[in-house]
Amino acid sequence: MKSLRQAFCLFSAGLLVMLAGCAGIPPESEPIDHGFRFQEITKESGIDFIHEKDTFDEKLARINPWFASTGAGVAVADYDRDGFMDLYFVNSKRGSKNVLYRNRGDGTFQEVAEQAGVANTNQEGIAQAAVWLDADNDGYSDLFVGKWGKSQLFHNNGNGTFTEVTEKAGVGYQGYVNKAITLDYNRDGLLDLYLGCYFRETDNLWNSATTKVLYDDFERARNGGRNVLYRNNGDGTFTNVAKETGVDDPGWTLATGSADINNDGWPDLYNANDFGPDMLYLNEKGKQFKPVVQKRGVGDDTFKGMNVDFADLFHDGKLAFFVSNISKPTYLLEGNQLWHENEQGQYVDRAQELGVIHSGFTWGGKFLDVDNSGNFSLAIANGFISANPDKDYWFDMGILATTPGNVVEDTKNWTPFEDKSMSGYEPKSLFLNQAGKMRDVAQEVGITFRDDARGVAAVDLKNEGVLDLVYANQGAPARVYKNIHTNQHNWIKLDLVGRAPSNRDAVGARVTFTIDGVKTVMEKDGGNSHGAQSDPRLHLGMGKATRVSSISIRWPSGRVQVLENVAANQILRIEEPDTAVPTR
Amino acid sequence: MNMIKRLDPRYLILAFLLVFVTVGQLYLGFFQKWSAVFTSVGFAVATELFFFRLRKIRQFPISAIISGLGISLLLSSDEGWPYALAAVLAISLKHLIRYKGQHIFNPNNIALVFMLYMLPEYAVSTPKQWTNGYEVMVLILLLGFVASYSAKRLDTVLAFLVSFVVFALGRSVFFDHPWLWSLGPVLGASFQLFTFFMITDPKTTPPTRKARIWFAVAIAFIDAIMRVLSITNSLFYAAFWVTLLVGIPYRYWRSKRAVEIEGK
Repeated sequence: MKSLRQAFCLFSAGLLVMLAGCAGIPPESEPIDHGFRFQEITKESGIDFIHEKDTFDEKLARINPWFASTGAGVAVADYDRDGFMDLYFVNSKRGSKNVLYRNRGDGTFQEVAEQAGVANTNQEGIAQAAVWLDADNDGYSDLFVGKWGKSQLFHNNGNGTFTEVTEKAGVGYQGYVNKAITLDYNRDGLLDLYLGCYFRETDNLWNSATTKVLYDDFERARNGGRNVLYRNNGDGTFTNVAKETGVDDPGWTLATGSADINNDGWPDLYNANDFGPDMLYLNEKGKQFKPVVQKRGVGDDTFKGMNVDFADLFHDGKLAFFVSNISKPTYLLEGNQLWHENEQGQYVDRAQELGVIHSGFTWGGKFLDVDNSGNFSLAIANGFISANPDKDYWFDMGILATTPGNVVEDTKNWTPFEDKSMSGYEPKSLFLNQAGKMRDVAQEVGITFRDDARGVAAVDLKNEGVLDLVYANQGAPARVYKNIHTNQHNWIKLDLVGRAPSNRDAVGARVTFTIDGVKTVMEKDGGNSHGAQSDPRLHLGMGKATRVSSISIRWPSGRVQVLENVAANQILRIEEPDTAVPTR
Repeated sequence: MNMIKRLDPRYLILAFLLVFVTVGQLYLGFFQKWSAVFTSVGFAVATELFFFRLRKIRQFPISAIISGLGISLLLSSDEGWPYALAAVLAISLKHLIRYKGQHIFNPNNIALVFMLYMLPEYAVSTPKQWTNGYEVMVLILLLGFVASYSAKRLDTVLAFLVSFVVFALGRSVFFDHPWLWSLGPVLGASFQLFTFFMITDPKTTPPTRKARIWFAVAIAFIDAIMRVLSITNSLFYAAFWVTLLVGIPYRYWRSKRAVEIEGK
C-alpha cells in the first residue's frame, strides 16, 4: 500500500511540477551567532528523569496513546531556601514516582523526592500538573499536585520534608486536572488554587462504564470537566468557589493562566480549552469573574487551546497573551494566537504579524528574555505522539474532524491508534524577538531534540543572570539546556517577598522597569504555561544599559514601591514595605 | 419545479454558496474571514475580466463569482495570498486548458488540487462540519439538492452519494474501519460542497445521464482507493484524475463519434 501511495504521489508530483515548478526545500539551519546559545547539560547535571505514560480501560484502548498524551510537567521553586532553584517533575503512570531535584548550586542536582515525601503521588491516579505555592505564608513553598484521580497538597515542613495535608485542606478534588495555578483572586493575602480540568469528573478512564467520554463537538465542545477554584480560607482549609465566582468552565481545559490583563489591580483568568472556545474571565473585585467574548475574536475561537502565557511584548503596559494551538501542513492550519488589546478594547490576534503563528502541535509556551535584550522571546514545547515514524494518525483524525459531535464523543467511532504517530518528532521552536519580529532560532542556537515536549520552564539554574530552559517531555527524558551568553548583556533579577495583606510569594505583583527610557511591565505569576512553572523571580535583560532608571512595584496589596537608579547584574531581594495600604 | 428548471442554474448555485458564506460568517464562526471571501471573489472576477477582454467576450462574470465563493469556502489558510492564487489559477486554467471550445477541468477542482498538493504548508481544505449538529446540515443538503436539480445534475449527486456510501461500507467491512468513521466524510462541509457544487458543474460533466452516473461512480471509486491508502483530500484528487483519465478521452470519443454520424 505504501508503494501504491508513493506511486500516486510521484505521478501527481510529476504532473503538477509542470504547472508549479519545483517546490523548494529549505536547507537545514546552520549555527548562527545570536549572542547566546544553548548547551544540553541533562546528563552532567544529574537529571535522569524519564516520564512514563499510563494505560486505560480496555474499552478505551483503541486510542490509548491519545489518552496517554498529557502529564509531563516541571515546577520550579527554591523549596529549601538555599538560594537556588529546585526542580519537581511529575510522572503519569500508576505506580511511578515523581522526582524532586535539589539544586546543589554548582550545576548538579540531587534527587530527594522520596525522603522529602513527595514521590509517591501515583498510587491512585496519575500526576498531570504541579504548582509550588506558599499556601500558609510561612516562607516555605508548599506543593500542589494536580492529578487524574485525587489531587494532593503537601505542606513544606521547612526542614526538607513535606507532609501531605490534602484531607485537612479539603483540596482532594477527584477529577482530571491538567493544569494548576495559584493566584490570590480576592486579594486577601492568601494564595488560592485554580485547576484546569479536562475529562468529566463523573467518568472513570480506568474502569469506564461508557465509550462516550470525549468531546461532543470538534470546535465548540463544552462537555469537559468543570474547573475548580479553591479559595484559601486562611485556616489551612480551602473551599471550591468556582461556581459562585463563575469560573467553573466546562471546556476541555489544557492550560489556565492568570494575570491582571485589564490592569485594574485584580488578577484575571484565561483558560486555553481544547476543541472549543477559550475563556477570558475578568475579575470583578474578587467577587466574581465576568467572561469576555468578542465576536470572531477572543473567547469565540474554535481552536485547540493548550497554553497561555503573558508578557508586555510591545512595551505598552498591555500584557499580550500567547495561546498555543495546532498546525499541521495538509491537515490543519489553525495556528497559535497572540492576543493584544488595541485602543478600542478589542483583543487583536497578532500571531501572524509577529511570526509566531505556526510551531507545530504546540503545548507549552513561555515568554522569557532569552538574550538579556530587554525584549521577550518565546520558548515552545511541541510534538504530540512520536511512535512509528512511517505511520500517521492525522488522516484518521482529519476524517473525524468532519463528523458531528455524537460521532466524535464515542471512542468506538475512532480508528485504532495502534503504533501510529501524530505530529511526532517535531523540532522545537524558540522565537527570538528581533526588533519586534519573532524568528524561530531553536535549531540555530542548539535546541535540537525532538521528543514530545509538554512544558518548558525558564529558570536561572546557577544564578548567573541568564535564563536556562528545562523541558518536560511526554514518555521521554527531561532535558536541561544551559544558556551560554556571549553578548555581554546586563540584567536585573527581582526576588519579591510580599507582606500582608499581600501574599508572601507576591504572586500578582506588577513591576514596571524603566531602562534607557523603555518601560517594561512584568507580573509575578503563579505557574502560567502548560506543563511548567518557571523561576518565580522576575528576570529582565538590560542590553548594554548598566543601571535601571526605576523599578516601580505595585504589590498585590496595592502598595506601590519605587526604586531608582538600580545597578545591573544583581539579584535584588525586595520585601514589601510596611506602609499604609491604599483603599481598594 | 418548472420554475426552478427554467432558471439559469448558476444563479441557484450562487444563492446556495451565498447562504453557505453568510451562515458561516455570521453564525458558524468559519475559520475563513470576510477578507478571504472578498480576496477570492475579487481575484477571480479580475482574472475573468482580464480573459474576457483578451478573448473579446462581453458577459457578466457570474461564473467567476461562483468560483471565488467556492474557493473561499473550500480552502483554509491563515494568509490572504493562497486565496488570491487559487482564484487566479482557477480562472486562468479555465481559459487556458480547453478542448473544442470548452474548459476541461472544473476550475475550482484543479485550483484546489494544485494548492493542496503543492502548498500544504499554506493551505488546507476546510476540515469542518456544520456546527457538529444536524440542523444546519439538513438545510445545506436541501439547498444542495435544489441547486443540483436545477443544474440537471441530480443524477450525478445521487450516483455519487450512493456509490460513496457503498464503498464506505466496503471499507468498513474489509478494512475493519468503524462504520461511522467510514461514512463520516458525507457529514462534512467539504464533502457537501464538493458534491453539490463541484461535480455538478454542467461544463465539466458528461452530457448524458448514463455517462454522468459512471463519472460519479468512478470518482467515488478512486476516492475509496485513496482513502484506503490514507491519502487525504482524496475527493479533489479523485475528480481531477477521473477528468484527466476518463473525461478527456470520453470527450474525444464523443466528438469523433459526432463527426462520424454527421459524415453518414
